[in-house]
Amino acid sequence: MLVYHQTGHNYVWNYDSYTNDNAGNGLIFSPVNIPSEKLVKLDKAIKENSFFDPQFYLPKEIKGKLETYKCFPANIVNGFQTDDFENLKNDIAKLCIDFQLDNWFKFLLIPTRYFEVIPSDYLNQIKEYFIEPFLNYYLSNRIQKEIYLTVIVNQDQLLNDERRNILLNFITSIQDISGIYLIFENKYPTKQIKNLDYLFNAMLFIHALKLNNFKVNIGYTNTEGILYSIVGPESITMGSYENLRQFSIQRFINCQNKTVRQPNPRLYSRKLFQWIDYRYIEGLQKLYKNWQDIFEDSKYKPLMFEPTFNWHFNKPEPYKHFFLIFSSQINDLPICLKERIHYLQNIFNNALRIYHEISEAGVYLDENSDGSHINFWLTCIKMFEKYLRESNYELSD
Amino acid sequence: MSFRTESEMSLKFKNFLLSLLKNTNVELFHEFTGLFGIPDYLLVERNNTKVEHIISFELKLRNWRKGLKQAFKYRSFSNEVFVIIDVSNLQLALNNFRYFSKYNIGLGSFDDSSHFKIYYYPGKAFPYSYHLINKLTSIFSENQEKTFLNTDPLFSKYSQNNSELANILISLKEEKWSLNNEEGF
Repeated sequence: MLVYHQTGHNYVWNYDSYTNDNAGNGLIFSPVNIPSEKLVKLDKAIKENSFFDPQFYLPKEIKGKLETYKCFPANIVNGFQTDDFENLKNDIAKLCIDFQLDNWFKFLLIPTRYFEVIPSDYLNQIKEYFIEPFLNYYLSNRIQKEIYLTVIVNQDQLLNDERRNILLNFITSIQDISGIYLIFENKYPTKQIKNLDYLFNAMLFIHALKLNNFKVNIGYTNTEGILYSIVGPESITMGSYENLRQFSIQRFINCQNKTVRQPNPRLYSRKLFQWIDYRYIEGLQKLYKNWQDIFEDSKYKPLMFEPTFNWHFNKPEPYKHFFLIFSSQINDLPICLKERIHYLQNIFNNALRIYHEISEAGVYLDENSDGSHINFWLTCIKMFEKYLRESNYELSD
Repeated sequence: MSFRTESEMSLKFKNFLLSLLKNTNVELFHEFTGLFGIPDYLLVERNNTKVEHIISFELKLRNWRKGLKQAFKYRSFSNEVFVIIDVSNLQLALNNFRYFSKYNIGLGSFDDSSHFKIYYYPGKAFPYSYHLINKLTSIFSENQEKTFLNTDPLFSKYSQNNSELANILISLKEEKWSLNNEEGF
């Protein structure tokens, strides 16, 4: 399984991490954050291992550097409205595909749009304004590169059996695409997902796509990407800031007058599968004798543990440390999915053991730094194993 | 009689603290931000320009567990931290006293007649965060001196003996209640 950098604000950190530290397998470029004139000048070798997310999620909203992309709908027509798709869909498809081809991306992506409240004809809109024009251009020009469809699964859809199945049926009926760039919307206020239905349904969704021979690249994943690995997606992602590890449409809305809350810096622990608030670190150092074991080594660790290190969300070290640690964590996963399940159960249980030790040592981590999400993961694995047995499915070797 | 809201409890507690700390060199801060969590009350004892002692309070009507979780954060910059529960709802907290001992957080109660009692006084401990101690002392030390308790915070041993604030609170400790009495409640 691969892991792509989900780029966004401070995308240079991802770029440096990939090129200088060999962390990750490529980048997912974000036109909201990188101007097209910069993107076109990037090294071809980097782009050949990466892909471009057109981010048409809100086609009327020109956020950030989207203004520099000719293919973005609102750049083609002033005051773009949904009806404009009817006249412009073929032009948009050509511009968008040509841009991706000209930049040698690993594969092509058909964009999608986001709906807060899903209209009854939204699948028809997706089909008519995106899938058909893009595939028409793709097939008529005999383009050899693989093409994927972006799919956003709204949180409500994921949690509703009927709506989820409607979406699955729609996707699996599409011909001529190699796979899906899959995004699960996450509106939970917690740093980790602690909803069993959400996690299990996400796994079932990925599994259904895999059963239908679609490749699946999951975007905007946080550490639950490790759990999803059991179902065999082609890739997950690693992002720096929370809004790159948790998909919310807020990221694509212009909020000029809104004050953006500065995140508190956190440090990722591979053993704990958690980003620990940096303000707990000294407590762990003083109270938990094995604290060295829970923060893995990297070239960035010594600097971060200097007493004079000024923890701030604009410091790259915690994020570059995460990219290194997380990508090696993914590389260590067994290739065989059956073995992966047992491997993950062992390391999840080990994480719970360590959290217990930390608590016994007198450190009380709050719900955004503790291991309360891991029990959900373990339960999810059991539910998935049961589902496989009852359905007579076997995971591929 | 129990408080109807936390705000009501907080206001009464504030007045209680102000009267308790009259004629001392202890300053009282309500909902001090910018550190780790937001303690309902932060007491800062100063000796001239130096910060001598910090105590934080977290007030809760009944949710002792949430109070404990929040209070632990304040240990990063406080000498002592207390969770203060509305006396009408104290029993559950007392039943779970072991957690207060485990995380070294004090437990007290308060009622609407301004009766304040401490059931568990936390053991001697230095604030665990060098960063936050420096931040706090920078805020309070007029000459920006980055020391705490007159010694290097990384190597000093905490001493309660010189703290007027700590002595005031120790005097409020409920003498009849101790670890051995835990099961009696």
